[in-house]
Amino acid sequence: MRLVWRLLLTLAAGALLTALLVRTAPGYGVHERDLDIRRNGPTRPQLSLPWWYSREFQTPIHQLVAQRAMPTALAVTGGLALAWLISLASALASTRWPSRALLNTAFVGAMLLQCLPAGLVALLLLVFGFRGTPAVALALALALGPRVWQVSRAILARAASSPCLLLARAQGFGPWRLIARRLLPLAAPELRALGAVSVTLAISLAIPLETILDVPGLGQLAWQAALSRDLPLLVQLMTLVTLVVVVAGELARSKSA
Amino acid sequence: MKFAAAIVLLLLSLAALTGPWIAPDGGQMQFRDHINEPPSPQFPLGTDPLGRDRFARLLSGARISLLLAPAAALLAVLLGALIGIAAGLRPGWLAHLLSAACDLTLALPWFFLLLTLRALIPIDVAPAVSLLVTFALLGLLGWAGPARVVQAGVQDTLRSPRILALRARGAAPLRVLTRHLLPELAPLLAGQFLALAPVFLLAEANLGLLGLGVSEPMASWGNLLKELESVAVAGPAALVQSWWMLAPLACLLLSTGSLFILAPREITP
Repeated sequence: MRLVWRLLLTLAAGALLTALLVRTAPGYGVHERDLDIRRNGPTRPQLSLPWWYSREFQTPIHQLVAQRAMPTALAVTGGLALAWLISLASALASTRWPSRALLNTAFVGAMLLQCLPAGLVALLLLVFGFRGTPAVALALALALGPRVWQVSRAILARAASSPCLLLARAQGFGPWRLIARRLLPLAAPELRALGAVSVTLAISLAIPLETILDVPGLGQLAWQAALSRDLPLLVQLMTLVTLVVVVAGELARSKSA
Repeated sequence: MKFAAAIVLLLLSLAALTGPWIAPDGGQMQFRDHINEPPSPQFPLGTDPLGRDRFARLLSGARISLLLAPAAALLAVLLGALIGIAAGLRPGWLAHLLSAACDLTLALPWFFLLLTLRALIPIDVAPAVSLLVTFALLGLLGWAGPARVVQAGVQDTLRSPRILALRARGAAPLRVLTRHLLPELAPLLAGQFLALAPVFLLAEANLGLLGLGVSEPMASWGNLLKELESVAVAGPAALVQSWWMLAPLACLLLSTGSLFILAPREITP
């Protein structure tokens, strides 16, 4: 019950704040084209649509969201799964077989990938012929993977040096049993929190990736809404995305409690 | 490693600062007889489709990206420090309120928030306004992380035996804050600044790639990278042939990499 209240309050506060900002924005209710004198044609009709209608697409927002949610959901799920699979596997491998040279190589690679803006990762994938939702998922994995690897490796390394792990090793636990029975359960709360953070990051990164790779998802929709100053659409997208992020965070927190 | 990173940053900053002497037109002058030219002695990185010197634009972009991203990081850290110190010093309803605001800001997908706030300002504003808006938004949105760290730092420091002894001896709160608390927090704030500056550089680059960052004719590394879109669709061979267009990417990699190396390892994202 407390969780539901917290969720509702966070959503209400977020929506109220964004709506307030939108309402006080300069030129509220005026289409971007009408603000620009060069494109202000005499035949353009005045827009007076309800708040659940997109000004740019002249369509109910829920229809737009329904059309665009699937590519984003697929890309974000695929990207997160790929990023976590590779990162966790390599973090576990570096805990199981610690090697200074390998660790340094991985660290340099992770740092290089982190220094690239996500949009540029998408552009590079475009250069090599990657297109569509799988390309967004791959770009997400490349952009998120290094961060997940770096933090999960630190979490696992800290857990590996805890007294209960040393005791289990002294008791003769095999390496895989040690990982499955002791290491992962010990690191699970922190890994779950990292999982929630990675969902937030993935949703944010969907904007540049879907835009550049031309995937008609929610990220591209948010970009189109921002370009045309379709503020009702932006506010509702923001509220929807906040809902997803808050639910992911609360799930991680409730499992850890 | 940190020394090399500092040297790289220093060289890039020097190039940015001496840009107005090296290329006085700031990359805005059009050479109509030299449209889309490859590198030459006159134009070391060639010219763009409008006939502007790419090297001059790179230097001009360096001035904007390398000076304003750290300025935005400084703004975020100062805001975070103010809020974090207020929340740390005054436990009670104020601390709860500030913590809740911090939680809310950290929970929101910040690129969506950035896009929403950017869209509140008309897209066709003057280039100088778009420049200020872009970096001010980055600065105003980045306060939550530093605030959380500073709040924890203030609470830890206030519980330390040294500060408890000072307060027991009747030291004035302002003196405790200025003489003891702020010096203790300085390394934390420096670390937060070093962690945020590369994030803001990357965010500006992403906004530039989406056409929502600093607007033309001003140059920033973000909007210079947008030029790559034209060669990206032509495949890897076209990209290799136009290697000089990768110069903004090289500068971005060097500067963000150096900042990540300079940031304390435990707070590097």
